[in-house]
Amino acid sequence: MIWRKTAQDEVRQGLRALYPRLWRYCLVLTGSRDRADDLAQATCLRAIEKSGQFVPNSALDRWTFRIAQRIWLNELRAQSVRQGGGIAPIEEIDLPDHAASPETNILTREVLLEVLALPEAQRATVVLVYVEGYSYKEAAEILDIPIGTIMSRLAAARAKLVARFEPRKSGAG
Amino acid sequence: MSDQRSFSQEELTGYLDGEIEPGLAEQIRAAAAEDRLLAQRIEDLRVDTQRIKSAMDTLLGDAPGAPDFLAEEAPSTGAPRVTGRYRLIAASLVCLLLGGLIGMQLGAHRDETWQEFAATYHALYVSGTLSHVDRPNTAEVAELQRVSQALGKTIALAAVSGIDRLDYKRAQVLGFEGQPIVQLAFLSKIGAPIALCIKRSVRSSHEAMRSRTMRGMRAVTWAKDNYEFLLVGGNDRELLEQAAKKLSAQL
Repeated sequence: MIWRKTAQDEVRQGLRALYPRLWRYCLVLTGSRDRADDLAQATCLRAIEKSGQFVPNSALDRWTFRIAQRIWLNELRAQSVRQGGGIAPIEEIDLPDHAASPETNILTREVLLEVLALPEAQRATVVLVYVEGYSYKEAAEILDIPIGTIMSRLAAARAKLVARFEPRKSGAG
Repeated sequence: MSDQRSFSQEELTGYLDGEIEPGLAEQIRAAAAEDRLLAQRIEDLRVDTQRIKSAMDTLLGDAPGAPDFLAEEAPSTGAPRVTGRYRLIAASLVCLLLGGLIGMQLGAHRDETWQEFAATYHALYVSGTLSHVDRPNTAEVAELQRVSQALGKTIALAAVSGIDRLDYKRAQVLGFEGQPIVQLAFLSKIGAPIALCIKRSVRSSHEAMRSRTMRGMRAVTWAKDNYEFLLVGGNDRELLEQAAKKLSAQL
């Protein structure tokens, strides 16, 4: 009996599993929960439309993040800037409050705020490389930029984060 | 001052991330050992990326559920929803059943291997089938003792919980043509359900590992001593092959 799932079923199933990470990436790109919801859903719809182009057994996550990036840059971003007069300030994002100790919650919150306060290009790169764990090359493909730009963004992000996390360290004079 | 090569912020970042070639990394390491200013520049770029990842991972629990249109092929009309994939599985099971009833004993499934049956069953699994499973070690150990006894082969918790990139979830006993099958269920890091099915063989057998596609999922089959194995699930061929090797060695 020869029968396999359609490409669309594969993509659909994969997206269900991927959804939390996709949504998180959309939150990082858009800076707001509502826009993250919209972008994540738009991305899933686009991915299903394009599922015929998805190479079976290849990395669904990278393929999907790339779609999200494109939709954000080419379609939704200008719209949200026009509507909202800018990207929503990060304080408006309701940060999660988990059952960890209050000290841990505060530290986690601080780290999140610092990362999300980075300029958009830097925070997207930081999340792809340091959170999702992609290599420079993979991140460059997702963002459709040269590897050199990945490195500049990460260097700039590191300098900013160090200055905020550990003010004693910065400026050796 | 010296004619030492100077390193850019980008190169130092690449050095910290392990993303530059070994030759350059060694150059930087050696230069930093001698040059205090360079060493300070590196320290000024050093960030605890693990702390960033841990903090960002707390957002995953906050994500809304996947949208409804990912769960079904067509909008609900109120009638029971049967997606295309489930329809095909139901149809194939009906065919097999009919094939079994017409002119054959129910037990003699000559045209389908047990692995094909097991793969069909596994195709029904989704992330949510296993994602809620989280039990104490004692329960897992007891369950494994029970299934080991049914199979006649010891399956230790250490053997199944030490597989790279797979989270062990549970075990159950199935059967095929009078032979017990133990199914060990895992979830991959991206939530793909993956199962190792082990069946006692009717004869002593040895078969080399074979990587293949079954029911649209990646699979690896092999046989060793008196047991036949099927590892099935997901789309990641490399993950499955690595896991199969490890599991075969441990069991």
